[in-house]
Order: sequence, then structure tokens, then C-alpha cells
Amino acid sequence: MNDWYLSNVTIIQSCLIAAMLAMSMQVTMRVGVLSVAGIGFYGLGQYSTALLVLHGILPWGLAIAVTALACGVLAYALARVLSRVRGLYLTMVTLGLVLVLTVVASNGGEFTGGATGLYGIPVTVATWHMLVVIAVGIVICAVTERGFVGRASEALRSDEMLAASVGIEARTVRRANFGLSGMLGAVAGGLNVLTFGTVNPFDAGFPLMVTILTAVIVGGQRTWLGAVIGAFLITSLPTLLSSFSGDTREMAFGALVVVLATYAPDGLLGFASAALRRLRSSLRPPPTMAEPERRRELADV
Amino acid sequence: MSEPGLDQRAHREPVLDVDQVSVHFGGVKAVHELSLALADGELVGLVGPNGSGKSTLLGAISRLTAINAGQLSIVGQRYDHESPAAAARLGIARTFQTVRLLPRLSVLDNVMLGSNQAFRLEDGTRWLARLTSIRSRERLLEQSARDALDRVGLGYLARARPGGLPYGLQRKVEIARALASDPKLLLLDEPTAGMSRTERDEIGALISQLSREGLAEILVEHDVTMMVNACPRLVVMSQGQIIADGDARSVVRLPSVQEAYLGGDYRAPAQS
Amino acid sequence: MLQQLLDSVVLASIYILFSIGMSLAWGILGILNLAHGAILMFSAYVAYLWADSTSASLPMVLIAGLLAGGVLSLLMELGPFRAIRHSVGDAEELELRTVIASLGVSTILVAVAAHYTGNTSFQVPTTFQPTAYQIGSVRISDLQVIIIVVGFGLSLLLALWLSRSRNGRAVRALESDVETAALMGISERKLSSATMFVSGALAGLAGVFLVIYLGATDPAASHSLLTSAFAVIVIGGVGSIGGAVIGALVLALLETLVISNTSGVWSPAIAFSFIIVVLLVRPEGLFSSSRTKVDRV
Repeated sequence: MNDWYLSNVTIIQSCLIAAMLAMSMQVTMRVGVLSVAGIGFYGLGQYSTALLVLHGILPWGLAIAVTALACGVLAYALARVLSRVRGLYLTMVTLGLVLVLTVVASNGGEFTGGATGLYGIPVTVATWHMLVVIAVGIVICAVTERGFVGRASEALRSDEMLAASVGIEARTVRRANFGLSGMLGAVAGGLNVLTFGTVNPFDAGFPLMVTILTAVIVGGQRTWLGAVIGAFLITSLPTLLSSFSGDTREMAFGALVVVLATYAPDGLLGFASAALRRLRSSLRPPPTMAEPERRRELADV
Repeated sequence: MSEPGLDQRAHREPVLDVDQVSVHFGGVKAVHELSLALADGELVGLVGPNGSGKSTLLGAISRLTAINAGQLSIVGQRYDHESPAAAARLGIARTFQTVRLLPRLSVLDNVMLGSNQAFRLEDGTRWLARLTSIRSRERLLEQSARDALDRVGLGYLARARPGGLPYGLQRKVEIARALASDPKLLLLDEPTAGMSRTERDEIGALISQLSREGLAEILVEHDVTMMVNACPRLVVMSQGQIIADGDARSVVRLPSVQEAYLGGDYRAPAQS
Repeated sequence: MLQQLLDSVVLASIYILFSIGMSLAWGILGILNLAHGAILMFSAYVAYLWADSTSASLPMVLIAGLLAGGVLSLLMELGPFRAIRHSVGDAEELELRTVIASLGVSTILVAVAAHYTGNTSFQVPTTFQPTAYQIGSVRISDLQVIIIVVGFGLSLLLALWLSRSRNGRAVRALESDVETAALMGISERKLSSATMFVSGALAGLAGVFLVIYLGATDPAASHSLLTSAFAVIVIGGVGSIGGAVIGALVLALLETLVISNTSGVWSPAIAFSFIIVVLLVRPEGLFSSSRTKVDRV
């Protein structure tokens, strides 16, 4: 078991980081916003953590924590600034944001290491650190999927007018989700940089956006579990299919995204849970008005 | 003989005060300088031909439609600059002309959206304090939702998905959701459309009962006969303005009202 | 200065061709096609393939690009877009799925092109040799004239058709309400197919022009081109041709100025900065009228 772990440690760590990134995207998707800002904050998190550590300003643990908090606040502020921008416009803004960050980073001269990026960042993060962090992230995502916050999110996602009519302030929920998304992305970036020791401006670009979106779509955008499953699949698949070139892999991903978006928008997890539900309901007949007594018993099963 | 209740109501502040409200859509005066007041427990029927502005008025009251002029107050508190969500939190609940239920949530969860109302997401510190009692809070929300479902007779459907339900039942769930928020004012936009005769009578009885319990309601329906029978007070709109407001049976005999309804579906009830 | 102005107008013309297609698809069908940039690039690639094997003249190469773009766009409509439109879900959800599907197509196209070009730039050789003329302090080539004429000319024709012809006016009146279209007797199928074909054809045309004008392009350019098109649409408003013209001119002018005054690395940032500024001030774009997602209360 130990041998398997040691020979696959890089993949496992990449999977965990991808999972966090996927969750950062899923968190805004559950309120109906397709945002790649999480990827942008991934890049910011990478650079911020790297710079804090390289210049000896903070020990690595605090560097990640401070970065995460700062990015969370920044993301929240960004959501405030963009609160009047909706739907597809918002998507494009986040897309443009990521591209601009790439441009800024590659033109940052000495400070950001320019187009070649930064090297020699001490590798201080171990897998168990990642597991702890992702566990915390999962808890936050899971808790906000249930209860009143979960219902509010679903209402916002599906029918904003209805949400408003039952007292749900769209702005607040959206901003909170954006902030969470920023934090998750930034943490993923910080962990990545402290695991692999380098960062360059093209890490957080279009290809990563597409990969993470594919992961979320494949696994299932409705819950954090879908994002995690998708991320693990997408990250580990290339090594399983290492005989194929990068471009072929991209083609396959693209095709997968198209097929899923068209026929199975809730991904593998959505497909599985829908099948399960259909199975359950075929075993239990639907309630009718004629037999309220019997239905009451069965409905509580 | 005047009822003591009526006198008391006249002295109290109106639950809803619509004061000279106008809603203009690019040149069209959907609602024009309209004033309306409702007291506690008052059940008002809102009628008018298509395009008279009934739905727009409901939208204005619930703040889902912006107003161009005038004031809105609920229990004496001005809210014409508030967001629709804030208006809901002030105690205004409504149903919609087209059923708006979330297909991915169970019936109970849908109704709990209404009881959600007590949860103020914008108040950060109170939210943190509430985190500690999340589970008990959730139980409270669930209980009020179940109570609301029971009131419309659909307690047994708690776990069902709204998508598979017949139209009439879906509308009942919507009403339950509005009730779950313990509102001060209930706006019902054609709540019985698509319901059977029996269901219609049930809802009619519920609406009357709620009024007796002190809930102010505005009911918009096409079935004028039903309205006259159910609502003590009738407000008739035409072209964005109120052309009549008063006792239902008298209002309906006014020549101006009958003219607005030329060819309408109202037949004066047989002499009783 | 005048030279830069000329260069901007040429670039603007290409942007117009490119953006109008995306804007129309968005305004009439409600489809935000994020593969539009990839379609432009891929059409140029197809033109390259064809020109490489035969010795092609300029018109032939343009037609090749036009057809490639049109067909690609049409396939997207006949395939994923139509299937999504006919599936169950509320408007926002379908819109999101359409966007995601278009991202998938974009990935495929870029990957295919990258695979066969080795992810390097490619050119489109033609038998056409541009001749340059000197008018005062300005150098102008006949290629530039052609681009300007085709770009502005086609958009003028399109604008006229939409506002004068009966079919055009009907389409205009819809503004993406496809159900009303059916009631008005316009076949939803024909409308969406035609719109997507034209949209892609214009992109293909722009792609070939771009490659010939700039000398070369590469698969990765799709993304920044997409941002540029979006900036044009945001400035000009969705579905507005006149707005797209103005947006394209403004953007092209700014980019040209920045490129000539800095080393050009900041130019992708311009488009985005524009997007941000305009959307903050006027979320629906400077010239648009309807079909927007703006908070109204």
C-alpha cells in the first residue's frame, strides 16, 4: 500500500488540488453563475504565497492562510463591484479577468519572474496537509448545501424572482459564494506552489479553466461530491491514458463536455442519483388524492 | 347595526397603504396615481378586465415591479425604496400567476423556502450567532412548513416532488409556502386557476378563514362571481386606475363597472 | 498618426465581421457562442489547408474560410445547441449548458488545430500579392481596401436587410423570442440555422482576412480574439450592428495605439478593461435596448 502511495504521490496531490479548484467553481455554479474567477484566484494564490515565502515575510503556513483570507475578501469585494453584472456577462468578465492576470504576471518583470515565473519555492506541504485543508473545504461546502442556505441557493439558481419574493437577498448569497470560491481557489494555488516549488503565469490560463470546468461537468455540478469526483477522474485519467498525446486528450475532454452539457448536464453523479430516484419511485407508487391516509404512511418512509 | 370590529379597524393604522402609486412602462401607464388601503384582516378582491393593471399593482406592492411615483407602506413603515426581498421580510407574501415551484426540491423544502424568511442573511453577526443553533432552527422551519402544508390539506405530500403533482395541488403548495412565512399581507394572483370545483371551494374557505384570523389579503381572480361571494370588499380597476371600491355586491351593479366589463363573465346573482 | 488611424480602421473591419456574427447569435437566439473565436481560427486553418495543396486566389481562399466557418457554426446549431434548446429546464439553465457546450467545441477545435499544426502558427498563402500605394503620408494597400470594403459593406447590407426587408424586420422584432417567431410563422429551425450559418460565415471570413493581413496566426489566438469580440459586443450592445461598428472602431483604435506605443504585451488587457468599465457603468452595453440581464429594482 505504501509503495502504491509513494509511486503515485504526485497524482494524488494533483488530484487533491484539482478537487479544491473544482469545488471553487462548483460553489458559484450552484447559485447559477458560471465563473472562472476561482482559477484567477488560484493564480493569485500561487504568486502571493510564493512571494510571501520567497521574501521571507511569512512562514509557509501563515502565508497560505493570509493569502486565502485576502483572496476571499477580494473575491467578495469583486462580487460587490460586479453585482449589477449578470449571467453570461459575468462569465465573460471572469474569463477576461483570468486572461488579464496572466498578462500582468508575465509582464511583472523581476517581481513576478516575468514569463518564466518563479522558482525555488521551498516544498513544505505534505499530502496530509492537503487532506486537512480539503476536508475543511468540504465541510464548508457541504454545510452550505443543506438547510436554509442550500434552499436559498437553489432558489437563486433557478428562479430569482421567486427567491426575492420569499425574502432571499440575492446579492448577499452570491457575494458569499464568490468569496468562498475565491478562498478555495487561492488555497489550492498556495498548496500547489508549496508542493511543486514553481509557478508561472500560464499555469492559471485557458487550459486550466477548461480542465476544471470539464471536471465539474463530468462529476456533477450539483454538489461538492460531483466536483471532487470529476476532479479526481480528470486528473488521473491522463496518466492512465498516457499513450495519447496532450492534444488528443484535449479533444476527448472537449467532446465529453459537449456530450454531457447536451445530454447529462448533471454529470455522472447526477445521472447516478436520477437513476436511483427513478428506481425508488418505481417501487413506490406516486401519491394520489384518492387515498390520503395510505399515502401519509408511505410518504414518511 | 355597525360591528364594533369595524369601528376598531378604522382607528388602527392600515396594514397596507398604497399612496398615489404610478407604474409607467415606457409611455404606457400600467398603474396611474392609484391609492388603496387595507386594514387588518381585510379581504379585498381585485378585479378588472385584462390589461387593467391588476398584476402590475400586485408587482408594485411586492416590489417586484419598480414604481415611478408614490409611496408604499406596510404597517406604517415606508418600503417603496426597498428591494423585493426586503419587502418580503417585512411581511408581504404572494403567489404568482404561473406556478413557481422548484422542481429539484421536495414539496416540504419548497414550502420551507417560505419559512426561511426569518433568516436574515445580510445581518452577519446575527447569522454567526444562529449558526450555533442551526439544527434547532431547521426543526422550527420544518415545523412551520408542515403546519402550513396541513392548512392546505397537503401534509401527506411533504416528500413528493412538485413536478409530478397536478396543477391544482401545485397551486396549493404555493399558497402553503406563502402562509409559512407568517405574513402580514397576502397577495394571491389567480390562486385557483386550474383547480377543480372542490379545490376552489376549499381555497375560498381558507382565504375567508385567514381573513377572520386577522390576515390582510388581496385576491385577484377572473371568476367575478366567486369574488363577489368570497370578498366583502371589491376593488375594480380599469386602465391603471381604480374605478370602484366598496361593498362587493353594490360595486358590481355600478354602471361604470358593468361598462368596463362589457361582454365580461359576470352575471348578477339571482335575487335572493 | 494617420497611418495608425488607417490600420485601426482595417483591424476594426475585421473585428466587425467577427463580432457581428457572435452578436446576432446572442441577440436573436440567445446563444453565447464561446467557440466563436475557435471557429474563426479553424476557418483560417481550413483555408490554409486548402491553399496549401492548391494554388489559390484570394476570392477562393475567402470562400473556403466563409464556408468552413458557416458549416462549423451550423453543425453546432444542428447538434448540441438545438438538442439543448429542446430539453427540459429553465431558461438560465439552458443558457448555461449552451455556453458550456460551446466551450467544449472550442476545446475540440483548438486541440485539433494544435495537433495538426504542432501548435505553431500557420499562414494562408495565396496567389494574391497586395500592392501598396502611397497617398500623402499614408501607405495603403489594396488588401486593406478590400478588407475595409467587405467588412463595413457587409455590415451595412446586414443592417439594411434587418431594418428594411420584411423578413429582416420580423427577425429584428423577435430579439431572441423564438416562440413568438413560431407564432409569426417563421420557422424556428430555419431561423436558427440561418443565423448560425451567417454568424460562422462572417467569422470565417474575418479569420482568413486576419491571417492574410497579420501574416500568420496560431491556435492559441482563439482566446484573446474571443475576449476582443466580447468587448466589441459589450461596448456596442448585443444585437446592435451599429453598436458593433462603433465598438470595433474604438477597440481597434485603442489596441493599435497601445501596440505601437508599448511593446504590445498589454493589448489583451485593453479589451478586458473595456469590458469591465462598460459593464460597471452600463451593464447592458452602451447601445443595447433589450435582451439583457440587468437588475431592474
